[in-house]
Amino acid sequence: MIVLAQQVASHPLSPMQPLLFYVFAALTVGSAWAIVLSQNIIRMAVYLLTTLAGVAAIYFMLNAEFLAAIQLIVYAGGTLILIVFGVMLTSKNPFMQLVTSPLERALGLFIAASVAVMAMVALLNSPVPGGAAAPAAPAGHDHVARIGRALLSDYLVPFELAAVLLLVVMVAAAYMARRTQR
Amino acid sequence: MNLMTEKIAGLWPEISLLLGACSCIAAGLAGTVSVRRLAAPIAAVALAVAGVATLAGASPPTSIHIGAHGSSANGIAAPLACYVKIAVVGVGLLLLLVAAAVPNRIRSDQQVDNAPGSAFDAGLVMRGEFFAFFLLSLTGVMLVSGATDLVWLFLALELTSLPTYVMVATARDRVEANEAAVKYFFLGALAAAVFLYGFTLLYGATGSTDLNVIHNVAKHQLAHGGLSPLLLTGMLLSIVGIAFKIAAVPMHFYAADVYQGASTAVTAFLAFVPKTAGFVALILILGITGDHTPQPVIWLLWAMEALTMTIGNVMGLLQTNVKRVLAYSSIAHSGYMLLGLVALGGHRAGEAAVLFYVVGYGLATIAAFAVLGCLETNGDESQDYAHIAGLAKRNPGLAATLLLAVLSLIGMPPLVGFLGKVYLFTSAIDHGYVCLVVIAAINSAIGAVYYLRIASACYFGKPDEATRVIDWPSRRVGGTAAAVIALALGIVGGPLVEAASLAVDAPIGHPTHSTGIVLPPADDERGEMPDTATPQPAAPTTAPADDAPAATETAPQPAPETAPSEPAGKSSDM
Repeated sequence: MIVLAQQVASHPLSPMQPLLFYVFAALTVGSAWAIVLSQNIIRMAVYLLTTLAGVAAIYFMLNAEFLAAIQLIVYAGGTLILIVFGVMLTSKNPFMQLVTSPLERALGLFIAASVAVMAMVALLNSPVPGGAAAPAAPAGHDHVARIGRALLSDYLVPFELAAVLLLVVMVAAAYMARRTQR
Repeated sequence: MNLMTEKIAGLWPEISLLLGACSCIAAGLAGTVSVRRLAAPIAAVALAVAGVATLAGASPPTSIHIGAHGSSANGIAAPLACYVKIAVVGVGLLLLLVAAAVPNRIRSDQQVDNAPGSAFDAGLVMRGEFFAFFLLSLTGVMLVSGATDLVWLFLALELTSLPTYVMVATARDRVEANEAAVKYFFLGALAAAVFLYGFTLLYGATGSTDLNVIHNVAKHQLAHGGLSPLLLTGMLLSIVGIAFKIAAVPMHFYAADVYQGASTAVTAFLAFVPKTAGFVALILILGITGDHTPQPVIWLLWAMEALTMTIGNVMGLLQTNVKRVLAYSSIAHSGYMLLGLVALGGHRAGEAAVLFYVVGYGLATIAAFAVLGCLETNGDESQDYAHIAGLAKRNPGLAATLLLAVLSLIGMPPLVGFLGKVYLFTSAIDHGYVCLVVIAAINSAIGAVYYLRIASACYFGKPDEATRVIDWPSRRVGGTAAAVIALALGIVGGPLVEAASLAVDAPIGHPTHSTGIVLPPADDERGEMPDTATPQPAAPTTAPADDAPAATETAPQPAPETAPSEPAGKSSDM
């Protein structure tokens, strides 16, 4: 996957690009659907892997190599493993079936469909804004440097805030998972 | 450009709370009980320092007027942050008094406290973590109020909520508490996903996460053929997602179960802290379009407001559990406060009213929950009408506190709830939302029924044998103080009202918020006060007429509130 995506990124004008985009988009959306429809939590985790990898591939195609790598390392690599471990360690039966009632399905489908329609209408009617239309920052190695600089200047407070948030989550997780008293 | 020091300069209150939180965790790990018990005083000191830091960092409100940088999406943020930080410190200290005794009731902490000889296990005590989470959540609210960026806003909102999930789960040794926490957490995550999606659409539509830039792009779009649907969708989704924090209608389902399941002191916390963060975030999101709130957003707020009030009050009427009643009352009050946001288009009075109301609501509801938290039935919390019956005969002081609290929640004249409602309703009427105000008035009447039911149970009911009053001095002091302040603010609410209107009106420069983007002066319609005072001749004729009859009880107060805010609104309306 990584090799493939790097090839794509290195030939940004290849005629394959639209085709590849649709392939990765279909992979992403299709496996997202599969997560929702699946009833087995381990299967869901595997489908989640392909969704996250598909998003990473699209990041590669947008020349955001750093983001794509982070996406693969943190989400596909870290978070997903955590989910699987979490399921295996906490649930008595990892192959438990998650069954939804028809009413819940209908309600979920209705809400999802209305959000999707709203988003589609909004997207199709919006002009492509100037700012977002030019994400093709100069390719090369200075991505990371620029991101680092941005994190420690413009985004310093959010950056620190994320650190505090992770501290909270860590303390909370340790506390919630503490040994139960007699 | 943005130097780090510049970014940090306005954040001393947050830093103080953060250091306080870390100290609480450290103190909580101590092997001796007396050191562990320092966690609550440390939290109080941190809050006090944060208050002093806020006051020291705030410029005197009237001394500086920077016209060109006036009230944009961010121009309002600087004084807004000051107001919110002071409110958070003040109400936070009261909440701390109410919550100070919570860890003493947690079984694991009790066991460790009472077994000084045995080996100390830091994993069993949670006193330090409880107060640390308490402070971190308040830090989140403060950071929300100072947000200049969508990333910042999102993280700050999550920092507000995350600690509360754990507080709900751990502060009470009951299965219901765990159930409540799980529900709260999952629905909270869902809501976060919704408003995060909204934020990404805002970014997609404008190409920036900076609220100031987004505001300028929106202004540009409005001037050239209207908002892009993408930006509009982003705003709608953000509002719906943030509705979770304020427990407003599409996202209100959790409130009753979570309020019921959490420890009473934590419930009081939930009623004020996330709600404040949510309303401030909504004010910032609505600030994107400035004076011209788009019609679909108004429709959404209109519907949310009417449904939230009605569902809150009607469901509240059907409950027998007082905590659930207060949960639905919390929903209903969010509905009233949304009234101020509907009335926001080009009108800062609505925002000021919301900021004022949220404090008044917080005080009254904290007093009510504090009284409830002082009662115990069969070793568990008292929650039913039957349990509070005859409280006046046993403990007149607590009964009086509860009475003041419910009267303020009803909106009875000498209390702060009345003033708050007057401002909200007049700001909405000024804006022509008479229909909504009529719905709100009917709802207030419905709400009065269950509030009075609480009061009558308390004063005329037959005392319940199984219920006893627990002697928790700090909680009692906290509750009484909240009720007394609610009364005092109702009688002399002028300064707070003035502060609230300055928070949204006075264009004061603030180091934190000079993000490097200078607004072109010509773009700004709602500049500083002297500018807007000129095209305003029509305003004085209508404004006092609306205020005068409603505010007869407290004639002097409305003047400072409406005077600074009215001109700004009317001028852009004309």
